[in-house]
Amino acid sequence: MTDHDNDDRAIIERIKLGEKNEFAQLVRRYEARLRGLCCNMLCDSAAAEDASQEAFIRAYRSIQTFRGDCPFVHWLCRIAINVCKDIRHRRFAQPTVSWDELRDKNAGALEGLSALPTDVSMPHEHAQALRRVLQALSVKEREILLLCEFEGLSYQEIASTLSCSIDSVKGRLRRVREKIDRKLRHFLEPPAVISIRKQE
Amino acid sequence: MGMFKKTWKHPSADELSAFCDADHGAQKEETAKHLAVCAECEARVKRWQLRKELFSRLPRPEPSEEFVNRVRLELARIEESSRQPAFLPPAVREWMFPSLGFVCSMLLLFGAHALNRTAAAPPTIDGYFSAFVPAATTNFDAGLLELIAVD
Repeated sequence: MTDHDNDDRAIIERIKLGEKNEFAQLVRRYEARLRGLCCNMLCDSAAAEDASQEAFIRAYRSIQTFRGDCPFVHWLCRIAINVCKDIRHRRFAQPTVSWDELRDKNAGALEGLSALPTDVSMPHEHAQALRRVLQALSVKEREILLLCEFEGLSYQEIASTLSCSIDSVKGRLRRVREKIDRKLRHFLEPPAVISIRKQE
Repeated sequence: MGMFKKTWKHPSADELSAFCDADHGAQKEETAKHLAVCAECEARVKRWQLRKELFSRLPRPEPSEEFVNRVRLELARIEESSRQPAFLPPAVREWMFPSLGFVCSMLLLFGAHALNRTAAAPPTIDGYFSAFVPAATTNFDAGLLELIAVD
């Protein structure tokens, strides 16, 4: 538990005792992170705003049930993912972009991704191409990939967020990675591998 | 000689994937040694590490005070509505709809039964048999006569 987590816990205790206005602190602290997660889950910034607002409201309503056995932010992420799943279930149950469409329309941006310098922020078109990769994945694949690679959670944290075992986390992550390997062969390769391929 | 041949065993895909995430545990040393000599696995790990790095760099939204205010307003509205006195006490509200449903279904059931009783005379065993036994006998006789005529 970090200092941040302990601070969250103290705020939650105060909220439970009736100081409900304290919840705004938690909203301010995590809103950007939650909107980012929802945006990548839904690939739609307007829907992501609604989803993150809904997630905060659900968290507020059930704050009395928060036991504190995991950091508050992970609990919040779990709620946000469930909200996103509900929204996706209502709107579109399955991937909205086909892999063929993704390869055809974003080939340039996907190829350019591997050569991006690491010290600059990602250009818009490349970010869009990456989000399209996420759109081509199912919700379950997307959630595990985002929690690991975008949120940077450990396997233990992902397991507690998604209420599954660590082995299941490992297996699911490996399957998503292999799927992207299969579907986007020759894209998203490190420069060294690309040069070897070209020599061949 | 075959029994002394060194076996070349790649780490499992799960181990390679965990290596990318620094959640490799006990296999770290072995996997690292293998990667130093196996170009295929090394390329795979590098590819996954590159993707991980790219996904971690996806743009994150800027903090928005407007969003915070919107959530605060919504929460205030929820608090306000929960404070307003309810028309009926919670226990009554909880049981009102199931009880109403039960009463309505009972009314429908008994109503339908009463209608049925007034619309038709109560069936008797004699009435039941008299409805179809003569007809069946007649049909049987007609069929028998047809058979005789054909013969």
